[in-house]
Amino acid sequence: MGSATGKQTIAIVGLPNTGKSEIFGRLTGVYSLAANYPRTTVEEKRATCRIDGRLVDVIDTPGLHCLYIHSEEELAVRNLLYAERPDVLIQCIDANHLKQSLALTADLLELGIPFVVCLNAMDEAARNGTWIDSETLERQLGVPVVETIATDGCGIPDLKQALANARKGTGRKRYDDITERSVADIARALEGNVEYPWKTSALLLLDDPFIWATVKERIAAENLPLLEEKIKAARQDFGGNMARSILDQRGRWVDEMTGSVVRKRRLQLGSSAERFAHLSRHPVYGIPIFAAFLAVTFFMVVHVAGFLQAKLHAYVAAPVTDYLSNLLPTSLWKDFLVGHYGILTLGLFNALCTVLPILGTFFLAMSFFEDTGYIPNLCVLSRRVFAQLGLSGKSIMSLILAFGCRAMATLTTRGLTTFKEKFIANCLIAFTIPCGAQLALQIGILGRVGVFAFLFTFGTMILSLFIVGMALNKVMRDEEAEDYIQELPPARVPNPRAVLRKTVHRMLWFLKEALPLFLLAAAVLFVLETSGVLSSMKALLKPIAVDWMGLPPDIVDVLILCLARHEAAAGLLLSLVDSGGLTVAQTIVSVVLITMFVPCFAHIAAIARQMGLKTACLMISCTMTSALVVAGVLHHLLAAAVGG
Amino acid sequence: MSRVEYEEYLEQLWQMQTEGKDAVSELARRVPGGLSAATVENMARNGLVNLTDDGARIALTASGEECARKVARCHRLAERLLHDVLDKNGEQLEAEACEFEHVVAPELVDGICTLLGHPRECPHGNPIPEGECCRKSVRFVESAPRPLTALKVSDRARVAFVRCERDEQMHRLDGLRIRPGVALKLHQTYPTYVIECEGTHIALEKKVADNIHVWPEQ
Repeated sequence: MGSATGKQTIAIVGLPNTGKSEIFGRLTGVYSLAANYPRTTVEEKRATCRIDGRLVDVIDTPGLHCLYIHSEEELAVRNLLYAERPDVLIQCIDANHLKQSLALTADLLELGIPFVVCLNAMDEAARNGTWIDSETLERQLGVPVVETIATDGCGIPDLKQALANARKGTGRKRYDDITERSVADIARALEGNVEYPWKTSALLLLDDPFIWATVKERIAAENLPLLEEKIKAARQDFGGNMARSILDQRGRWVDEMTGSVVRKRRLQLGSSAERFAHLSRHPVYGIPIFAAFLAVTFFMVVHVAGFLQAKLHAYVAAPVTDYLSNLLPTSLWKDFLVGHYGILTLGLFNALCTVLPILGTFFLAMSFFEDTGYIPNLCVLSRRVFAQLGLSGKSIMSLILAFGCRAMATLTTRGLTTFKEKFIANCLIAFTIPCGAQLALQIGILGRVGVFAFLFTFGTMILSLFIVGMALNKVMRDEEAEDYIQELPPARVPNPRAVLRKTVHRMLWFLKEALPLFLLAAAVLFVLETSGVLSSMKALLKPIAVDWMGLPPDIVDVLILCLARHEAAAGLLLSLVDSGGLTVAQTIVSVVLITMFVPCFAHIAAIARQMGLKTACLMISCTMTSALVVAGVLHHLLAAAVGG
Repeated sequence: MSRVEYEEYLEQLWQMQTEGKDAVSELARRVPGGLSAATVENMARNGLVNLTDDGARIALTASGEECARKVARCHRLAERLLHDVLDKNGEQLEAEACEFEHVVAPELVDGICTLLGHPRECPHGNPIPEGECCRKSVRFVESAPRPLTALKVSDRARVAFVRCERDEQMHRLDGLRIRPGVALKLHQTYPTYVIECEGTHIALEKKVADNIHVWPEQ
């Protein structure tokens, strides 16, 4: 509990996609990645900051619909509430969807933690013709209600002030007599041992699938039978479906509450953003829109990035290299800094002047599309296709998110309920989908040698995705999959500042994570080269690299860099392509090779967490072997095709 | 004199009328606990029945017939409900139907009738008098709840009920405010169902949409 350390703990909770991360960022000044789709935040994020002169811990949590849990990701949030007992909660509510959020508000009132309601996205609500009487809402709930526009920082000072007045609330929903009596009776048995006895007792009566685990940890084993007895008696006493009855009563409470505070303009103006969202998931128009999205990304990554690279090389890399080569007398120093394997040329400039422009432009395009709310619509569009691969529900979202970051996508698979779906999704993410950075660099490299090479490689990748997915779907035993129900976020014209901020955040993150490895890899290559080990390695690996995959011996440099960081390898590959060292076929083979060769560390860690360490190791060895096999097969096929 | 007693008399008189009987002695045989002269007089005073001068024969007036019709309708629908839905039989059925017909509010009767799909006969084979709801349903079969999947794109509807195989799904749909009474609009049926409900767009698969039953709105 926060008070033990003298520091207050504030947890931000709320439905998915209500702006929790934005509020977190505004309160703490720490950037938490936000986007316009549900479940952007898959893990809690913490920061310490000063509010009103007091030091507080703020926790950003993944989305939560209500305290009755139906997925593991929501369970993590509830467990956090039980384990940490935050002093204050901020419930983030999208003002456009007040009704949907009030069920959670009812739950929070029952928990008895002081909280503040933050009505976010007030600007959008106003545009949509929704007017909320927040004063009345405040009176009825008995907790402070603050209006905010988190994306612009409006209302944040009010929110900070309101935190001091956070209250437990007086508006708790009273259920029928039997329910109230039963809940109170069971709550007495929990008192003193379990946090939030009233709510826990209600959850026990609702037969929440996970609450027993929480209770068992806190109550002595000999008292459990008595508790079970009480619950059974209460259910018998009630004699109907208690869950349905409670939901129904709560539903009416929500209706009454919104009925008295929400006014809606009758005239509904269809916005062009909304029409775009509709078209983007339409079975016919959706496809050209997707193609346009790919084309824009391609243009950005190949042409815009190419232009930036040229300028950066001309105005930064070349002058520095020239200056240093003239300045430095001894050749060893010169080679170490600006030689072929120089720590500046292969390390710093590779990262800054070659790789960063590609990633930056790609991140810009991705951040923009993310914030329009396009991604969940893409899930709708591609649902039937993915159904062929045995993926029915939330897993499609995970797969599409993998094109952004595979580690994060792997984490989102924890919400999947069947082993089959989880396994297939993780395999496809690990074997067949390039992450954002990989995709960007692939496009960047292949775009240099022509649209054909790009389409061919992309096609091969999609094909392998289908073959692997369909095979796994056939082989694995069918399980009853969870039904597909997905909320689609509102279509929005992205806020340019938010998009830029996110792009910069991602670029900085890349530099922080990768730059040291770039430098290290360059240094290792330099040592291997000067000591002569590199040339013997090249000779040793010649049968695989040259004979089997048809690549020049220099590809060994690329593979070594790849072990450190695949972006570094891609940078080197790009300069090989630019210097004319590779044919089109060789380019394709080497791009496929480096995409598949080694997954990134974050991704391995994520797989280990989701599927266990053994599965993770197995998957990695499979990927490495199959990368070599696939690259070889591809080389022979291409050679045969060109020869034929 | 209670409403229960009144209704009992009306029901028996209605039954006798369909059988072509009108002797007061017959009525006395049928009503439980024997005939009360005060009740019969009271009914006559209220214009529900006509008595012959010698007090031997009795017949329902037009307004009495209307009342009796309602009582009979309620009783027989109650029998249907207890028999079909709650699986009651024999004496238990009869006893509970009798109790039921007196406690149910008149406005609920049509609701029960609709719920049961406007049945024509009671479990004993006696005809169930038509109600307003039956007449309407004959004219507008459309107004019966139907699965969401039967709607056309851009149709609007109101949720009648949601069938859920598991509690978990009920909680999930309730969280999205897909619950009885809410208005929704169907936006798309392919590649998957997309509905708008309380201002949110929600994508559902066919299996889920099949379980959401709605009343189409014009």
